This record gives sequence, C-alpha cells and structure tokens, in this order.
Amino acid sequence: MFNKDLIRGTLKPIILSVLKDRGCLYGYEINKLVSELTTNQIQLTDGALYPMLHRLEKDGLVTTEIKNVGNRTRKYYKLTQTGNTESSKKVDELMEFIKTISLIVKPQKI
Amino acid sequence: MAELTIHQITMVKYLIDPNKISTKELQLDLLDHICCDIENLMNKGHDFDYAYKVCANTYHGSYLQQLDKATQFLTNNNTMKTKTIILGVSAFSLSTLAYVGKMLDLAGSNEVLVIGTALFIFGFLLSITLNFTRSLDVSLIKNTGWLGFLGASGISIGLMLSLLKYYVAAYFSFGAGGLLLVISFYLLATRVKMLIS
Repeated sequence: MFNKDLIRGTLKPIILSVLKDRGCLYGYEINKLVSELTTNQIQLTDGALYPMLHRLEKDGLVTTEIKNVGNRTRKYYKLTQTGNTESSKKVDELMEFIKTISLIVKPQKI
Repeated sequence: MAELTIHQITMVKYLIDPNKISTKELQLDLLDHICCDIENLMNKGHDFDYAYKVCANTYHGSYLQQLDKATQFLTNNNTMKTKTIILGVSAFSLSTLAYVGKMLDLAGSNEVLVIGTALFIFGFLLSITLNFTRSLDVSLIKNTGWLGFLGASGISIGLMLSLLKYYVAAYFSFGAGGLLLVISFYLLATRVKMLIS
C-alpha cells in the first residue's frame, strides 16, 4: 500500500477520474472502486475522501443526489460540466507531473 | 447480501455524535459509510453486534472530530483566504489614508488610524493566525502561531502609537512585540526541526 502523503497530493485527480469513468458513485463505492482498480495499492480513508468530496462540491466540480436505498438514504456524487473539464485538466497535469518526476527519480541499479 | 434494519441503522446513528460532526451532509455520508462497512462485515459471516463493535472502535469521538475539522478546513479554506485578503487590503488602505491625513493635518486622521490598526490586528492578523493554527494538528506549533500574533500586534500598536506621537509607549510596544515575534520564530524553527528529526 502506498504512503498516505503520496496519495494526498493525487486525491483530487483520483476522485475526479473515477467519477468521470463511472458517472454516479457514493462515497463507500468510490473507496471500494479505487481499492479494486489499484489491487489495494491505494486505499482511500474516509478521513481523506469525504473532506475532499465536500470541497469538490463547494467548488462546483461535483453535484450530489440523495436517493433512498433500502432503509436509509444515500448521497451520490457526480461530475458537473465544470468538473468534467477540470477532471481532464487534472489528469493531464498529473501525467505531466509523473513524467517530470521520472526525470529526477530513476530506478536504482543494483 | 446483508441489509441493515431500521433499528440497526438507528443504532449506527448513535455513533455519529452531532456535536462532533457539524454538518448534516457529512453526517449523512458517514451514516451510509458505516452502514456499508457493517454490511460488508456481515456479508463475510460476522453478526451485527460484532460488526457494530468494530465500527464503534474505528469511528470514535476524536476520529470523527478530526474528520469534521478536515472537512471544515478544506471547504472553508478559499472563503477564509478571500476574507483575509479583503481584511488586509481594507486595513492597509485605512492606515495609508490616516497617514496621508496626518501629513496634511486633517481632522479625524487619528481615529482612522486607530480603526485601521484595529482592523489589521483583529481582522487580518487574527484571520492569518486562525488559518495557521487550524491547519495544524501539532499543539506545540499552534502555540507559536499565537505568540507570533501577539508579537505582530505589538509592533502594529507600536507603529500606531509612534504616529500618534506617544513615543515612550511606542518604544515599549515595539520592544515587547519584537521580542515576542523573535521568540515565536525561534520556537517555530526549533519545534519544526525537532519534529523533522
């Protein structure tokens, strides 16, 4: 599993990306999906996920919809038009960052 | 697939202390999240009581409080920044206006200067200090923030007093403020160094 500090900086593009791919997701589902997609290498904690989701909502990048599921209510998150554009930007930025970092950090030769 | 009953969901609600989680939105997210966690454990063959206990251990008071704090910080960060900038610009404008007024011997300049200084201290500086202390979990560093606030306030009051020609009080204020500021920077540097090592 990756270090929390590494995940923290990439949390926004991760959430925006999964929402872009899957459309409408609830918090627990985002957690589970990220774990599955990364074979448990990245595990988002609820302590990191919900503050970021609320921030994205406040910034107008995601919107919420409340649905009744079984005996309780559930909040679904989905991207807004702005969020959709921002998602592409953030992913491009992250890819560029990874490329740049790989110029400095190289695998050690033993 | 396990699905919690209304009674079980009510029990989960008790875990989410409304005093610890300030917004209804976050309470709703967490309620569903904990219910999913419990259902997940029940699907693995555990009973509700066991799953509930596991979640109660995870979602204890201080954890929820931290989560709420992180959410508040992230959602209010931009608003706080804007407020701080507005307060800073207003205080600076008022103080400059008062300074020019004093140069031209205009009536009311002293009052404007006092208001500008008060706005600078209790608006701008306080806002910066609150932003600084709220973003940190280490109480040792938080305290240096407040010490720095007192130091910067002392220097601001000193500046105001010197413009009002209360020179002795101004020197005293400059001295005390400067000393506090130096101490706070020194403590901040040593504590950060200590934390890193």
